[in-house]
Amino acid sequence: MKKILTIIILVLIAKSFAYSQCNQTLVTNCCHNISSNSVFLQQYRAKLAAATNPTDLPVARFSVLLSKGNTYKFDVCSALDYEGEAILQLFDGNKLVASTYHTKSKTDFKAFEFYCSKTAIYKIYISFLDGKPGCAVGILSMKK
Amino acid sequence: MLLASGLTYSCSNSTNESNEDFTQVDSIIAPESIGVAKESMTELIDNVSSPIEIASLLLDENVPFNKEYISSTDNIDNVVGDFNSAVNLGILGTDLGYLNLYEKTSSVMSTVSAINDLSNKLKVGQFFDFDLLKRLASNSNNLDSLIYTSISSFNNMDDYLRENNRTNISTLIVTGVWIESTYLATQVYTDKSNEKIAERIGEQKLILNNLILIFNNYKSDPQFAQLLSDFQNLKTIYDDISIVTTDSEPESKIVNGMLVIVQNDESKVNITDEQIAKIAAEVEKIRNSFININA
Repeated sequence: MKKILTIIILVLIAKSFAYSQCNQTLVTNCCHNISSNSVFLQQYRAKLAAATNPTDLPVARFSVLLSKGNTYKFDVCSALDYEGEAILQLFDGNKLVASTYHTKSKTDFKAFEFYCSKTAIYKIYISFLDGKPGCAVGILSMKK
Repeated sequence: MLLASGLTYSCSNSTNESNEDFTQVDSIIAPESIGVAKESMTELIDNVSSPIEIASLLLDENVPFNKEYISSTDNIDNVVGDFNSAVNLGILGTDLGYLNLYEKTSSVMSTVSAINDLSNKLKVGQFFDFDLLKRLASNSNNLDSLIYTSISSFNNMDDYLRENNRTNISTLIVTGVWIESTYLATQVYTDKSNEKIAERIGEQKLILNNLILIFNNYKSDPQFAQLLSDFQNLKTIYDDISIVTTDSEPESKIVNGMLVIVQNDESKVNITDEQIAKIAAEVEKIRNSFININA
């Protein structure tokens, strides 16, 4: 019995450690958040150093063409061996369209669904709360 | 349930699951350190919509599957050189998305096999686990896993190419994706007109201009110069197509604990049947110049 318990504990520790790592494991673990009626489209990896200036936080920038009529989902997962909690924001030009973090209520949703009504090239920003150093992956999926 | 378990399986079985740490360099565009051209290049590669998206639209519009639309893989061994291999890889990647989404898993193998050959020619074969893809394709219950593994393999290959200063190859692969996606859409429209598909054809204008910008960078290469010339011909048709947008504030709500953003902006594409016919002819010509190498 003790042996079984030890094995279970070791497996759980190994799993939690794997999730925490800043590598492809983070991507594969994060894609577990994709629902069964959605299809994986893209991953966005970000590894950023701590901010040196509190008014100028490091940001990983990506761009993506989103098509009207589609519902997309953005998930963001942070590596646990880094301090930073990731925020993923979606911009249309300079306009912030959506964010996984609501600043006023300080709520971290870690994901959002986006119903797109305008085909355009959008920007995806991944940064870390309070400019802490971090490693994260953003996952883009689309409802089938 | 099967789909859910399939996805779970796929998440733990992606190909090339390297455990190397993420690099910091490739995910950051530092505006002060790059020129416009490099930024545009990065945008171009990211911006070409996934091959899955066009197939998804066709499915949504109840367009029946048509094997005639996809590229033959019979003479793939005749494809010579990195330039042609990369474009054909993009073309077949789109076909693979089309086959996968239409659940034509029995027809997937020849396309997967051809992708394997081309990726080996480009020395990026390590990103495609041929045996895994073959196994997934052999059972329709593995569809989600097959889609995930296919897309993930292409994404990882693209990252690798960019990290290793082979952006030109990456550019050609997405060019192949663009050509085949536009070809599929125009062929479907030619068979039966459809407003949403017409719009999607018109929206390709957003990418076309970026592609031309990139080809300009490589035009000292005669093959790129030819591609640039072909795409400039396409651009003259697209120049008369307008995309009108109106902006509005998005709405946000919480649905079952999930943050949902509903965009209220609008975009409208003004495109005619005549313009689509011209695009169809031009794209087919470009596509044939690549896939006829196989003949």
